[in-house]
Amino acid sequence: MIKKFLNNDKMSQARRVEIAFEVVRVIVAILLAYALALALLLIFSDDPAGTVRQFIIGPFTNLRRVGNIIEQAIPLMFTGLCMCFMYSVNEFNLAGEGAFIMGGCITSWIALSIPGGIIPSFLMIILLFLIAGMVGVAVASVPAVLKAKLNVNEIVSSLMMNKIMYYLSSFILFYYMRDTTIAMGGSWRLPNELKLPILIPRTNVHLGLILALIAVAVTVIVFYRTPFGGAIRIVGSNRFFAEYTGINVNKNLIAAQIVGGFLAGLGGCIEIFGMYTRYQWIIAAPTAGMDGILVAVLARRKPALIPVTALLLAYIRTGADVVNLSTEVPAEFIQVIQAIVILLVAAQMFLAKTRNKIIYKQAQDDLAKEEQPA
Amino acid sequence: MDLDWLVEFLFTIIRLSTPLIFAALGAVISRKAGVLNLALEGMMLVAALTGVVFSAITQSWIVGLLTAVLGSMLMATIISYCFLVIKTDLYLTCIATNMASIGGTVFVMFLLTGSKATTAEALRSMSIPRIDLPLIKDIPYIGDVLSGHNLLTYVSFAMVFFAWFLIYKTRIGLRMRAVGEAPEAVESVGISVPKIKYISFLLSGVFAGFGGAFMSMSYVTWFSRDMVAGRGFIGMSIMNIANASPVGSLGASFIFGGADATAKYLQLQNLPTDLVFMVPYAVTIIALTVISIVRIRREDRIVHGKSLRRKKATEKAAE
Repeated sequence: MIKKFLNNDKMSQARRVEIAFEVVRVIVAILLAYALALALLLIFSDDPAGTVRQFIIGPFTNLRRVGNIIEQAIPLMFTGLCMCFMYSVNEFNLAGEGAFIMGGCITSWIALSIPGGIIPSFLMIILLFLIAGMVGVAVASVPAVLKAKLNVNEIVSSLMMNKIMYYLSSFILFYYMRDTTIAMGGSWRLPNELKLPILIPRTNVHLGLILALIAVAVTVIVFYRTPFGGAIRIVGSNRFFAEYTGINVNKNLIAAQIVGGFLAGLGGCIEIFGMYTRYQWIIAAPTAGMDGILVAVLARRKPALIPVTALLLAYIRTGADVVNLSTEVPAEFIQVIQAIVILLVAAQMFLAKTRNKIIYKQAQDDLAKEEQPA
Repeated sequence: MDLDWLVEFLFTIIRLSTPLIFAALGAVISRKAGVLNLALEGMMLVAALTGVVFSAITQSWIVGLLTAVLGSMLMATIISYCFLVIKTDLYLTCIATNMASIGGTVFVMFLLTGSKATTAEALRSMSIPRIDLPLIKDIPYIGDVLSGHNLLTYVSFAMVFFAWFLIYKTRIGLRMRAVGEAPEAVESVGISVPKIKYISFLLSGVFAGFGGAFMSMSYVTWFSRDMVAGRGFIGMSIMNIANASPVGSLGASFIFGGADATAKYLQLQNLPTDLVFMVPYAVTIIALTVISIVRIRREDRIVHGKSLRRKKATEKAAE
C-alpha cells in the first residue's frame, strides 16, 4: 500500500516525500520524548530497571490495565475531537476543559434531582447527553463569540472561563448534591440505571467507547463531506481567502467552536456515567480538556487519526499511573513529556534539513531519469 | 473605626496588585516587540518554585530571588528557542510550556518533599523583608496604606518606571517598538529581528521572575500546586486593557488587585467561597469585554466622524 502511495503519479514527488516525512517526524518526536521519559525515570527511581519495565509493559500485564488504556482513551477522544474543531479554524479556544467538567457536573446534578422512574432511563440518558452537549456549547461559545465579535484574546478568556467553571462546579457539588455521609467531597450515588453498560467484562470499558468512535466517524464525515466542514477548513487555512470567496468567516469560526464545545461537554457526561459512581471532580479534577490539545496536535488536525493518538496518550498515561502506584515517581512528569511532544511535532524546523535534502535528492534523480532515455 | 477598615483594604489592594504589576509589565515588554507572552503563568510558577528551593537551601532571600529570576529567564530562553529557532507556533509553545510548568513543578516538589500539594511543611523559603518608608510612615492613614509593604512591592513600582524608560528612552526600547510595528523595516536596516524578540522575551522573563518570587517568598513562604492561579493571564489582560502602556498597566493592576482584595474580604463574610473565588476571573472577562466595546465604539467614531447614535439621530432628523 505504501508503495502504491509512493508511486501515485497524480501527486508530485516532493509532496509525497513531504507527507511520508510528516509521519516519520511525528514518530521520531514521540520516540524522542519517550526516551526522555525513560531517562527521567532512570534518574529519579531507586529501582530504574523495574520502573522502566513497569512503564513500558506495565499497561499490558493484565486485562484490567489494558481496560484502563481504553477507558482513558474515551474522554481523550472527545476532547481531542473538540480541539480538532477549535484547531481547524486556527483558534486556540481552550474552553474544552471547562466544558468537559461542566458537562459532567450539570448532568450529575440533573440525574440526582429528578427522581428515578419518571423518565425511562434510556430516554433520560439521551436527554442528559444533549444537555451536557448544550452546557459545553454555552461554555465554549463565550470565548468564541468574544473573539469573533470583539477580538478578545481567546486563550485568556477561555482559561478564565475554565477557572470560573471549575469553581462553579465545586459550588454546585458542595451546595446542591454533596453526600454528607462520606468524608471525601463527592455527590450522592448516581442512579444505577443510568450507568452506561460495560462492554468488556472485568474491565470498566463502557458504551462510551462506541459513542466515541461514532463521534469520530461523524466528525470525519462533517469535515470532509459537508459544506460546513469545507467552509471551516478553508477559514482555518486562509481566513482572507475564505472572506473573498464569500464564506461568512465569523459565523463559521463560532460554529466550529460551538461544535467543539458540544463534543467536550458530551465527553464529560459520558465519562461521569461510564466511570464514576459519584460526581467527585474536585480533588482530582480531570485534565482531559488540556490533554485534548496533545491528542489533536499529534493527529495533525485529522479527526480520523484521533482514536490512534488518544490510545497512544492513554497508553503512556496508564504507564505513568502504574509507575506512580508501584514506585515513588509521580505521574506528573508525563505533563512535561506531553509538552515536549507538542513542541517537537509543532516545530516546523525539526528535521527540516533532512527533509529538504531528501526532496532535493529526489528531484535530482528525477531529472537524471528524464535525461537518460533521450 | 470605619477608616481603619478602609486603610486595611487599600493596603491589601496594593499587596495583591504586586504580582499583577510584574505580570503586566512582562506582558507589556513582550507585546512591544510584537510577541504575546502567554507563558507568563508558567514562568511565574517556575520562578516561585526555584525561589523557594534555593532560598531554603542557602537560607538567603537574595539568592532565592536571583534564582527565581534566573529560572524564569531560563523558561523564556526555552520558549524563544522553540518559536524563533525551531519555528513552533508561539501560542502552542506557550500553552505547552504552561502545561509543562504545572506538571513539572509538582514533579520537582514531590521529589524534594514527598508532597504533591504544598511545600509548607517540608520546605519553607526565606521571606523577602518588609520595608518601612521613612517619613511617609509617620503620616496618619496614608502612611499605614503606603508604608510597611514588602520590598518587592516597591520594586514593582520602580519597575514600572524602569519599563517605561527602557521602552521609550533607550535604543533597545526603540528597536523593540520598531520590531513590534514593522519588522520588515527593522530587518532592512540590518538589525536581527529574532534577537530583539529574544531580548524582549528575556526581559519579560525577568519581570515574571519577580512576580513568581513575590508569590512564594512574600505572599506566602512556601510553594503550592498551581499557586500563581491565573495571575499570569490576568497580567496579559491588564496589558491589553492598558493598551500596552507601562504606566497604564500600573493603574489597571490596581483594579484587578481590588477585585482580588474584594474576594478576600467577601471570603470573611459568610458567602460561599467557591463563588467568591470566581470574582477575579469573572472581572477579567468582563473588563476585557467592556474595553473592547469601548475601543470599537471609539474607532467607529473616528472613522465616521461622529458617534453612531448621533449619526442615526441626524439621519432621522433629515427624514
